[in-house]
Amino acid sequence: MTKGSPLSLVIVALVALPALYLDFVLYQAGTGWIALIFLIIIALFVFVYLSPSAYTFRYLFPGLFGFALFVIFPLLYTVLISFTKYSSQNLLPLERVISLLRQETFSTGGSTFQYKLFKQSDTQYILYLQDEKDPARRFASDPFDLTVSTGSHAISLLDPQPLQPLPPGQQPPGQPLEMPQVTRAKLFIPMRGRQFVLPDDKLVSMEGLQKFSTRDRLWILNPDRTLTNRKDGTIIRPDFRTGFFVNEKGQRYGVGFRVFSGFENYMRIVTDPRIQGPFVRIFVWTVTFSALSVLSSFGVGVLIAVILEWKEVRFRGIYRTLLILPYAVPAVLSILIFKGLFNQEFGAVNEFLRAMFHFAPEWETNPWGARVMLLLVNVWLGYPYMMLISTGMLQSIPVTIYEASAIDGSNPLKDFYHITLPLIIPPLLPILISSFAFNFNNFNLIYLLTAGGPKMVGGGIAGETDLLVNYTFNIAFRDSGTNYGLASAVATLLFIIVGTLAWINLRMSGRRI
Amino acid sequence: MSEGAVEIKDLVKTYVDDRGRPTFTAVKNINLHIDNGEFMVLVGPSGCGKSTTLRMIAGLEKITAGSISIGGRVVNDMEPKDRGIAMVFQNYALYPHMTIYNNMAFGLQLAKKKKDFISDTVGRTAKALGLNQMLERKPQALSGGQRQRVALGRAIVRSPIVFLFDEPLSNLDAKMRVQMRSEISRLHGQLGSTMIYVTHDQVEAMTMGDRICVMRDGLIMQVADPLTLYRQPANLFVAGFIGSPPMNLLRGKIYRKDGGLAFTENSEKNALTVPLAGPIQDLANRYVDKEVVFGVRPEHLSEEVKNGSHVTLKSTVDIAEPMGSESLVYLKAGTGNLIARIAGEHLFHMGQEVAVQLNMDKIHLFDVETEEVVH
Amino acid sequence: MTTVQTPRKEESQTGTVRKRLTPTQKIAIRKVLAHAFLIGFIILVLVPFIMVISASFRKGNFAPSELIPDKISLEHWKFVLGIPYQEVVNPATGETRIVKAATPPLLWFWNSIKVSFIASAGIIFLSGSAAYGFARLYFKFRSATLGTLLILQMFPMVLALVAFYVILDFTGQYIPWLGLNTQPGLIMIYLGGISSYIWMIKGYFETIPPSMEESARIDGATQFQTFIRILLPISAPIFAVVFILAFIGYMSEYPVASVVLQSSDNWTLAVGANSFLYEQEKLWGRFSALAVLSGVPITVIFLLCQRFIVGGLVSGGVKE
Repeated sequence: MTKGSPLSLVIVALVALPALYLDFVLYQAGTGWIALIFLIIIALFVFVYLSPSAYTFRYLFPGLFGFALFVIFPLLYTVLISFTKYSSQNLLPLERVISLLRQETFSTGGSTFQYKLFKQSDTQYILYLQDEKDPARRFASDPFDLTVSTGSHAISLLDPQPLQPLPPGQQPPGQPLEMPQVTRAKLFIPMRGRQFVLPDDKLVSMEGLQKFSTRDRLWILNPDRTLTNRKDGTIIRPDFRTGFFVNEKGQRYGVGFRVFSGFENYMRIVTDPRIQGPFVRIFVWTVTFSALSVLSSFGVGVLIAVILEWKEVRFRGIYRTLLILPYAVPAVLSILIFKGLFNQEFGAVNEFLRAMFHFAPEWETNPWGARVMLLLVNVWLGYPYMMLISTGMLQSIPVTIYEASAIDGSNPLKDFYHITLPLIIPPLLPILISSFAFNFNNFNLIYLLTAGGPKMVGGGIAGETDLLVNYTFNIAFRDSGTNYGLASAVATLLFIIVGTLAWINLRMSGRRI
Repeated sequence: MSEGAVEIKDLVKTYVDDRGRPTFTAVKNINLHIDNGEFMVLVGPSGCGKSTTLRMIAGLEKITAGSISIGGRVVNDMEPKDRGIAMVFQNYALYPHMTIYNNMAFGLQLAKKKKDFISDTVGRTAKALGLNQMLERKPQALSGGQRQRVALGRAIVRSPIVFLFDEPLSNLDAKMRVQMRSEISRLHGQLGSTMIYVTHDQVEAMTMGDRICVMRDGLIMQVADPLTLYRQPANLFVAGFIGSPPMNLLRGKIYRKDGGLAFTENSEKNALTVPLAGPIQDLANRYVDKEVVFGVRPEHLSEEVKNGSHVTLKSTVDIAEPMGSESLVYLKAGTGNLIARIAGEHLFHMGQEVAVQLNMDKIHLFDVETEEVVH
Repeated sequence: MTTVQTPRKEESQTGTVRKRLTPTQKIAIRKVLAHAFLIGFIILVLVPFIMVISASFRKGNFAPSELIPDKISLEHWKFVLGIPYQEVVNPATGETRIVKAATPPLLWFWNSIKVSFIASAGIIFLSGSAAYGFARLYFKFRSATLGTLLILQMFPMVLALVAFYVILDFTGQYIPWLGLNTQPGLIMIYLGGISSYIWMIKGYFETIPPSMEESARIDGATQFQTFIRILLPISAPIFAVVFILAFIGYMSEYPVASVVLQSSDNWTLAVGANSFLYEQEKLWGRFSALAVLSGVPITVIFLLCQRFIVGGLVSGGVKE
């Protein structure tokens, strides 16, 4: 095996050759440096699996590769974004913004065209144009996807589709659609948003139902990346501080682009009262939530574990199985079930409390109610794990210690405080710390149970029960905010906090690696 | 007939840490020749490098420097399977998920031997070891002794030219250990293969080895047959290590006294003084007024005078351990403590005064500086 | 365990009332208290589940609030299983319509099983082989690498969503079945979370004496053969634990799946189940039926493998 056997050669070839082909495709598509990195990875792969000197890494390569791609890359990418202005306002790279501006047109009263759509498949179409005045001028596009999913962005983000002159007598392949088919909303709306570009760089787009007409580009791109308006001669240039194109008076044009912004996002967290206020409150709540969650689930877990270790109690097996249930059921389902049970008006919890005590806490609208609910649910979800872990620890304590303490005149409570806890807490400390770290980032619970609610007064998108990770998520993805740069900065800080915890944990667990 | 001879030349093993920095040298430049068909025991306290040496012979540890040859071929860069060796491990290292049959057949299967050949070989070996009834069982269903036999069988099946044993008996209870000891010895007689046997137990070493190699801190202290090792230890370490109870070792000086020589223990007062007699005087002559270590084995302190020159020591009994046919008696003579192995069915009691005869022909003197025996 | 040995010596008890109790009586009282406590807790554990089962059979979409449904109906179960059923639209006219799920919710459960199963199998492969490298092979900066893995993994997946989006958007342009809104794409992202599993498996490998592999080497096995034929079979229990933990973790994963999978026929259970609970209209009945349907098999599997899992949790000491 250390020497390249024929079989391993075949296997390496089976992986490497398609990868090389893919790399070639990438290169052709003009993604130069990505293709290069990919090529290096392929070379590394071949080296690791064929060279005897890299034998050890054959076992590590797949795992480390996946780790690099899905943990390290996202991390670095996030850190990188945290130093940029990147939000719903400054969304696109500069080049895309330029090409968007270049799609702006003004009517020049040029040619008009008759058009036909040739269907190629369910999604692919070819546009065919014929000049109304000069029927010999005919153009056709390559097949393009008309039903393309555009996600949240506008259709105008698509580049103009090039048109080629069609030689006389030749027709595009496929069947032309009848007019009623073309004017169906499913095709017509995307069609109306599309632009096409003639060989002479004139843009063509739909005018009315029946025709296409040429339009001229409004902006001319100068070699120094400034744009000149052809109608009034205004010159605009990219402002790399704000991430917008501006004219001499500082007036903004078009959409913003991403720019490097240094520590601006971090400074905002520290100085901007709209961010800083909620950030501090959320940080305090995150720490409190994690600490209380760990302590109370551990307390409940240990208590139950100790009782279940008492040999005098019958049916311990059944009890244990039933008590593990919250750990066995997928947490998503349990959390959503509790969302129903804690429903303020109709939920079982309040119906019960109303019937028994004429008392109905506001789990959804009162911040304290919501926090108590989160802790209750989290203890319910978390104690079985603590119970399982402590049971393992309890079973490793020799019974003779308790026998000795009994002879010394101890009682159950003293045993618990003076023997059991001191013996099990030190070995469990790493687990408690990682549990703290887990709860520090317990996105699911908050997102699914309260979605951060109730809203923090004057806190913008911050909710009273948001953890830092949920707050970050809101900044990045909630429609109103979408500030990737700021979110990444918070995420980076968050990672530093939790990473430090993990590092301390690693030190404390003192495992010989 | 030298195909089973093992030659170790200038062998060094240095371990390195996670970053390739040397941490600890387990074997420090040793040389050892093992004859074809010889039963060589490597013995020493834990950490002396004996197991590391064995594992280097097996090919399980990389050699830092020096060379190992088996049957005249240098095996430094050879895979374990190509070295013609088989190894029995301390914890038997049976594959828990395989039946006994498959445990024994694994090596032959990997070598792509014919099925008939495998079942024939395994069957014969199992029968010879009394394992043929349990071939379809898994290791955990077997007793310690049976597992040990399976491990032996697995080694035999490979028909190696050199057998390697790494403390194979230390996980067995005392009775089983004695039985397996003789079984391995018998096996050596039957097969005639070279066997290299690592143990920390000097009794095992003495009873089994044709020759014994005593190691300490990565160095060889002495290589000799059991009797030579016992009678003529080359240094303090071997003298103290071989023999149970150990040799009495007293630190003191040689003085001229009454025209002859005497050894006096280092002590403020009541120092034990032994007048020297017999051939030992010639050796002691060189160490007059110098420090030496004086050694005598417990059995050479006796109640009756046997032949040879003797010196009588007055002493009191501290503790006595009657063993039946003999007694181990812990004596106080002067300020020194001596252990005597006294034959005969006696009962000694504490504080009893005993005059013991010290056989002067059997004493050893060791240099304090070099720890080597004086000769 | 702590309570067993003590009752013999009354002098240690401070309460005057207790002093009069015999040891046997004290044990009896403690036993009753223990049972009462445990049963009380079990009620707290079971009531939510019973209410969900009840809600799944209850007519109309009400939040789980009853132990036994007042009006029993199978409509939610039919909906979840993709079986069409009649529903009265207007009670006055008796007008009815046929209701059938466009995407049978059962499909989400199946999707989740598929994704979680393949991802867990992948995790086993990746973390198992890497753990072997870390536990048994020598290479420079081994412990540093291992520590780095653990610390970097602390970066929450949720916050890497932007990067995941970028990666999948990119791969999707060249390999359409591995892009956004594909299950293979989601699986690929899930495969990044290996480091805690590497630690668990490595910890287990280290409890296995290396002499078995050494013996196999002397028997003529290559490194790869000792890994496959000796170490892997012996380590089957820890692989079972890792598989189950990873599987359950992925069954519950919500944020990444909700971003990557956009069309409802691709959704996983977590995304689908949450989709029943809109802000405006919460379809508790349908949610409950889906929760029971998918929760029960997973719970049963978990309970059957309990023993394994507990051992693995204790030895690994890492929670997902």
